[in-house]
Amino acid sequence: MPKYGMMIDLNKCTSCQACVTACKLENNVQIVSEDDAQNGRAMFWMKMLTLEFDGDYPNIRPKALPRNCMQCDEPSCIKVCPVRATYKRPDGIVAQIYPQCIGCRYCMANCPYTVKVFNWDRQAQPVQMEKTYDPDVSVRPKGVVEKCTFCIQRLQKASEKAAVEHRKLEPGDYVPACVEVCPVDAITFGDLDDPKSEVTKASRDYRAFGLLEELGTVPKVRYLNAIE
Amino acid sequence: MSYQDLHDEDEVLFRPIYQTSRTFYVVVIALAAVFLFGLGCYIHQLFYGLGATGMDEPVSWAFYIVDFVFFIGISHAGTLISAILRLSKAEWRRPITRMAEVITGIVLAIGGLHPIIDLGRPDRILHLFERGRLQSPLLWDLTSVTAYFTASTIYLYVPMIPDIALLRDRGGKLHNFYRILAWGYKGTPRQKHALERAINILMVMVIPIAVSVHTIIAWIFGMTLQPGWHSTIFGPYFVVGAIYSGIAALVIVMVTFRKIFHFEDYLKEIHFRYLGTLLLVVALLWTYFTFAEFLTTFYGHEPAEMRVFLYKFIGAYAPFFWAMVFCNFLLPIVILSNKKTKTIPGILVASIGVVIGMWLERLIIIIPTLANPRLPYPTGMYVPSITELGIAAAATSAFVLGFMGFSKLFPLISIWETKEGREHSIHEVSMRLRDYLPGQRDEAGVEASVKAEI
Amino acid sequence: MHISRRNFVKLLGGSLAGFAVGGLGEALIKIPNAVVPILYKGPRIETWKITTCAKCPGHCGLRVRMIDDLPVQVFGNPLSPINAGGICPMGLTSIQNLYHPDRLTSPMRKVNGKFQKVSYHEAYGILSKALQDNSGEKTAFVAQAESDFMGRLIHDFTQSLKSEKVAIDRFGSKTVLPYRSAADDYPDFIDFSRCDLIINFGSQLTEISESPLFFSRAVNDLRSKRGSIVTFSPKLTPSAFKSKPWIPVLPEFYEDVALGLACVILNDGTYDKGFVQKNFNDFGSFRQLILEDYSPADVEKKTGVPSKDIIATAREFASATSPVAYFDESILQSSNGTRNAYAVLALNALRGFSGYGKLQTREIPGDDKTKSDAASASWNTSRLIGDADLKVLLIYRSNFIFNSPNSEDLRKAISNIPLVVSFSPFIDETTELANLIIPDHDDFEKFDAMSSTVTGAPVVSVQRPVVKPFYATTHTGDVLISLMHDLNLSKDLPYGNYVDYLRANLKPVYKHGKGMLMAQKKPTGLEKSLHEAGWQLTSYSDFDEFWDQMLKYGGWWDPFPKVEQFSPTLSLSASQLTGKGSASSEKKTHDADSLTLNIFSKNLDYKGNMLRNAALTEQFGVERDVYYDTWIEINPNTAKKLSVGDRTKVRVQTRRGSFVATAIHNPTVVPSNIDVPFGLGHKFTEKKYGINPIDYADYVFDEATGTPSLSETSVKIE
Repeated sequence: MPKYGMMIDLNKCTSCQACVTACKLENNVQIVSEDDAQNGRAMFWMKMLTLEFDGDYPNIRPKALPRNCMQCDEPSCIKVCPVRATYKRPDGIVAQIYPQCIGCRYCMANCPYTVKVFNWDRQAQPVQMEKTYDPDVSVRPKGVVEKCTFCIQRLQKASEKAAVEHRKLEPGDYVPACVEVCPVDAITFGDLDDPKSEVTKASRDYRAFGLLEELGTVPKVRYLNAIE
Repeated sequence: MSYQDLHDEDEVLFRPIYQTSRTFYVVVIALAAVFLFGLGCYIHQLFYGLGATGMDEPVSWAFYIVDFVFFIGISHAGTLISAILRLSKAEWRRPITRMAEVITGIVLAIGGLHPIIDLGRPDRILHLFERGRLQSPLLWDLTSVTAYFTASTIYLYVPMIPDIALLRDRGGKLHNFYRILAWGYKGTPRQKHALERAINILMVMVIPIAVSVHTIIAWIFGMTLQPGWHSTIFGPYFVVGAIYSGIAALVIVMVTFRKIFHFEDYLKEIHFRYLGTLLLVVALLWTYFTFAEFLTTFYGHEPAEMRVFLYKFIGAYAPFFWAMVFCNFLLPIVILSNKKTKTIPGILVASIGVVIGMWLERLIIIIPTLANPRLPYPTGMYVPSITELGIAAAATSAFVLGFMGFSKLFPLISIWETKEGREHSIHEVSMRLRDYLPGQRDEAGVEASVKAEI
Repeated sequence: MHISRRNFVKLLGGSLAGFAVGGLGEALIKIPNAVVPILYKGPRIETWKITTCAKCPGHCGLRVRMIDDLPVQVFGNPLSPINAGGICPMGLTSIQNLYHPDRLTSPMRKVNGKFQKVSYHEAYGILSKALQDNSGEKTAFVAQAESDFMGRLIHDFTQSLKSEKVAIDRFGSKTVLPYRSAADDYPDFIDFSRCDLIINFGSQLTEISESPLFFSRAVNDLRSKRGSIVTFSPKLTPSAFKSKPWIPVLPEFYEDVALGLACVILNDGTYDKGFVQKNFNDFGSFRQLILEDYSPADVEKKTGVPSKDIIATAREFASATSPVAYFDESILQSSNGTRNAYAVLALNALRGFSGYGKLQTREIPGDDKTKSDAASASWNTSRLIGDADLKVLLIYRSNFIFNSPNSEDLRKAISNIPLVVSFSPFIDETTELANLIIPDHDDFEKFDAMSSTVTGAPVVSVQRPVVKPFYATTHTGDVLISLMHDLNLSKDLPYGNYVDYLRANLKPVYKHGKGMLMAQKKPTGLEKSLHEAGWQLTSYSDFDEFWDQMLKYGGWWDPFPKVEQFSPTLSLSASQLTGKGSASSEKKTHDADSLTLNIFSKNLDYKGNMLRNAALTEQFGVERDVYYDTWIEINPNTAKKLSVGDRTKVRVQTRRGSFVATAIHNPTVVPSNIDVPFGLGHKFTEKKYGINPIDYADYVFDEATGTPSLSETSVKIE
C-alpha cells in the first residue's frame, strides 16, 4: 500500500497562487458571499500564507508558503471526531465523509494548522462556477466541515483506469490538481514508501522541514526551505 | 407524624404554590417573549446555517460553547453543594439544598442543549449514537452530561417525595399529578428509612459524577493541541470554577426568592454568611489555579502560548480579561473578607460579580486560543451576531422561567427537612457534639440539658 | 430538467464511491447544474482538447477537459514549450468566461441610451455604411490583441482604410518603440542558456510579462545555475521575491539608477569596448554626460538608492559573462518612461547586449512584429481627446477607460464620436460607451493563432474552438475581412474569412519544413542530431494535414532554431537620455506626511479584464485576507507615525478625490509609499467591489507611448 505525500519546494515557488485557484475549481469549493468572506469565512483548501517575514527592510522577504492539509500521519483531527466523519485511509490520505459529519467543528478546533473549513451556509453559486463544476466531486451541503483530500477523486479515477488496463497504479498516474498546475513544478507528489520516488528523494533533502513538526502530527506534506 | 393534623408553622413555604400575583404573569409574559425570540433565532439558524452566527475561521467555536461550559458550571451549584453539605451533616443546609438542586436540573437541561444548537447538522445528531467514537472527548461529554442530568434529576426528585406527599394531602387541582409523583409515600417508618437510604446512596454517587462532568468538559479543550488549552490543570480548574459560579448563582437565587416569597425566616443572614465564607474559600482556590495556569505559561514563554497569553493580557481581549480579574478576584475577595461588607447585599453583589466573571472566564478560555492559530493567519475580532445573543437571552430567560414554573408546583424549601430539623436535629447535633468532646457519653444527661435549654 | 437524488447516485455509480452522496434531504444536496443534463443525456465521455490561452501575452498551451463535449476544466498543456504543463490562475478560470451570464448574446445597438438587441446584418450594415462614409483619418481603431495575427489583421484593416489612428495594445508592442528610436533592431528573447545576471527594472517577470509561466521556470533555472537577479522596483512583488537584492526605487528614477550603473562601469572601464566603438554612435559625448552627471553619489542624492548598492550592482553587471538589463512595458509607467528605457538600453550596450538573443531565420511568423508594432506606437488613446475629426471609433477588447487615469476626458471625447463600435464579448467600462456592439466569440469558441519568440525558439500556438459558439456572436476577424471585401478596401484579398487568413499566414511555417508540432517533448539524443542534420521531425503530406495537426496539438515550434547574438547599432542623443532637464529637478519635494501612491498589479488580473471571474475576484485579496474590497499596504513604521492601525479603515486623499480602504501593515512596503492593488472597482458589474485606484491618480503619462504613470501621485492618509 502506498503512502502518499507531498513536498513543496519554497525555493521554486513563485507565489503565483495557481494551486489555490486550481484547488478551488477542482474540488467545487464554495464561493461564499461577500459578507461571509469579509467576516473570515472564505473557503480555501489551499491557501498562501504570506503574513510572516524574514529579515529587515529592504532585505526582507515574506515567508510565502502554500498551505494545504498536511495529511498528518498522526492526525489530531481524526482523534477527536465523534462520528468518524474524518478518517485516515490505508494509503495515508486523511479523508472526509461529508454525509456523516455532524458539524461539531471539533476537528477544526483541534487542527494545529487550521486547515479545515466549514460550510457556514450555502450561497447560490455564480452560474459560471456551477457550469464548470468538476463532475467527479460532490458539492457539500451547509453545516459540514471539509478540507483538502489530495484530490482523492483523481486517485479513484486513476486506479479505475489502471484496473481496466490490467496494470498497477504507476507513479504519475495520480497527482492532485495543485501539483498538476504548478508552473514551476515546485510541488512533488508521490509515494513516500517507495524509496525511489521523487517525493522520497526530496524529503531526504537537507532543506526539508515540516510545519509544526514538534507537535508530533507527522505531516506528510512537507517543505523544502528557500535557499537564501 | 400524621399528615392530616398538619399545623401551619411552615405555611409560608406553601404560599407560592397557591397564590400567584399579577407581577408573576407580567414577568412570565416578558420572559416568554424573550424565549420565543431566541427560538425564532434558532429556527432562522436552522434554515440558514451557522452563518447566522458571528463565528468564522479560525474562531469556529464561540458563544454557544461558552454558554455551554458556563451553564454546566452553574449546574454544580446544586448537586455538588447540596451533596457535600448533606454528607458533612451541615445543619444549615436544610433550607438551601432544594433550590440548589433545582438550579442543577434546569441549568443542565439548558446547558446540555447548547452543543446541539452549535451543531452544523443537528439533523444528524443520531449519528452520535449510531456511529459514535468513544475515543472522542465529545462522546465522553455526551455520556457524562446525560449521566449527570439523570442522577441530579433523581437526586432532586427523591428528597422531594415527602413534600409532594404533603401537597397531595392538601388536595387541590393538581391532586392527581401529585398523587402520581408522591409514589404512595405515607411517611411510614419503613418508607422513611428507604427514603433516607436512597438519599444517602444518591449523594455519594452524585459527587463523582458531578466532578467528572466538569473535568470532561475541561478535557474537551485540554485534549487538543492548542496553545492555552493543552494543560493538565484544566480538569480541576474547571471544577473549581464550576463550584465557584455555582455558589454565586445559588446566592443570587436565594436572595431573589427570599425577597419575593418572604422566606426571611428560613433563609437567615447566617446562611448567607456561611455561603459567603464558602464563596471566599473557592474564590481563593480559583485565584490560585488561575495564577498557577498563567504563571507557568508566561514563564515557559512558548511563542504560540505567548500569543494567546498576550492576546488576553494586552491584546484585543484585555478588557474582558481584566474585567474577569476584577469580578472574580478583587470584588469578591474584598467584599467577603471584610466583616462590614459581608452582609446579604454585599454577598449578592459579590455573587453577581462572580457569575459575570465566570462567564467572562469561559469566554477568555475559548476564544483567544482559537483566534490565535499557530500558523500566521490574520486574526480578526469575534463579534457575536444577534442570533447568538438572542439564543443566550432565551437560555437565561428559560432558566428563570423554569424556576418560576417550579415554584408554582413544588415548595422551594424542603418542608419535611425543615420539620425534621426542628424535631430531631437539635437532639442529634447535641449528641454528636457530646461525641466530639472528651468524657463519657451520657444520653440521659444530654437529653435533660437539651430539654432544659428549650 | 429534474433529477432525483436516487437517480443521481445511480448515474454517478462507482466512480464516486469515495464521495458517498448520502445524507439527508434533496434540498440540502446541490447537484451541479452543468452535471444534470450531461448525466441525464450523455454517456459521460471524457475527452481532452488542446488549445491556447489568450488571456495574457503568455500564450500558454491549454488542455481542456470536456465531458460530453462541454468544457468543464482547463489545465496546462505539458507539451507546450511555453508553459510545460503549468498554468496560472487566470488561465484556470478562463473557462468561466465562456459560461459567464454577463456575456453578450447578440449584437447590440444603443437606442436612447439603452442597448437593444439587433441582428448581425443590421449591425454590420450600420458599421459598413459608416466606414464607407468615413474612411481615412476619420476612423480610429483601439485594440487589445494578444494574438499578433489578429493584431496584424487590424493593422492591415486600418491601413486599407488609410487611417493612421490605430493603437494595438499588446504586451511588448510599446517596448519596441524605444528600440526603434534608439537602436536599429530589437531582441527576440533573453538568452537564458547563457545569461547569468538579470538586472530587472520594475518588470513583474513571473506575474505580468511577455510570458509569466515561461519566465517563472526560466528564473528558477537561472537561480539554480547560480545566476542572480537584481530587481529595482517600487514594490516587493512575488517576482522580486526571487531576486537578491531587491532595491526599492520609484519608476521615475530607473533612468538615474541605470545611468548611475553605467557611470560606475564607465569609470571602471569594464565595458565592452569593441561593441561600443562599433555600434554606439557618439559614444564620447554619452560617456562624458554620464561621468559628469550620474556619479553614484549624485544618484543616491536623487533617488535614495545607496551608492554602495549601485556600485556593487554595476560591478556585478560588469563581471557577469552575459548580463541582461531587462525592462518591459512596466518601465514605461512613469512620466519619463521612454527615457528610462533609453537608459537601460545604454546600460545594456556597455556589455554589448550579451544576454539577449535574436532569431536568425526570418521566414517564421513572429519575426514580423515590427509592422504592426510600429503603427501601434505612433498613436495612442490619449490622442482621442480633442480629436474633432473622428467619426468612427472601433474598439476590440480593449478596456482603456478602466486603465487610464484620464478616463473622464476620454469619456467626453468618445461621447462626441458619432459611431463607437465595440467588439467586446462583455459589457465593460469602455463598451458601455459604444453605440454598437458586435460581440466577439469567447476564446474557447474561436480560431486564432499567436506567435512568440520569448522562449528563444519560434513558437506558433493555435487556438481552436472547443465548442460551437453558444450565442449569436461573430469572430471579429471575420467581420473585418468581410468589411474589407465589401468596401473594396484592398484588391484581391486572398482570403474570405479569418481561418483562411490564418492558414495563409501559416503557409510559411509549413513550407519552412523544420520544427515540430507540440505532439511530443523536446527531442534529445538521436532525434536531436537528426533534426539538426536537416531531418523533419513531423511529416505531413499537404498543408491541410499540417493545419489539422496544428489544431490537434495546439501549435508548432522549432526546438533547435538558429540564433545569433543580438547586436544592434545604438544612437542615443543626450536629449533622449536627459530629456527636458534632469528628472529630479522638476520633482516636487514631498511634504512630511505626504506619501506616494504606488498602484501595483497582480497576476490574477491582466489589464483589468479578468475580475469578472467570481473565483478570481474572491481570490484577489486572499494573501492579505481582504475580500471584495480595496486595501492599501503601508509600512508599519509609517503607519505608526500616522497612527494608522493594522486592518483599520483609512481615508486616502489624492488631488483627484479620496477613497476609503483597509490599511494593511506590510513591512515590505517602501516607507514613503502607499501600495494599492489595481483591478477592482469595475462599475459594470452588478455589485461594485472596491475602487479603481487609477481614477485617483494624477494625469501623468509617458509622452511617447501614452503609458500612464502608476506611481507619481502623492497621497495623504486620514
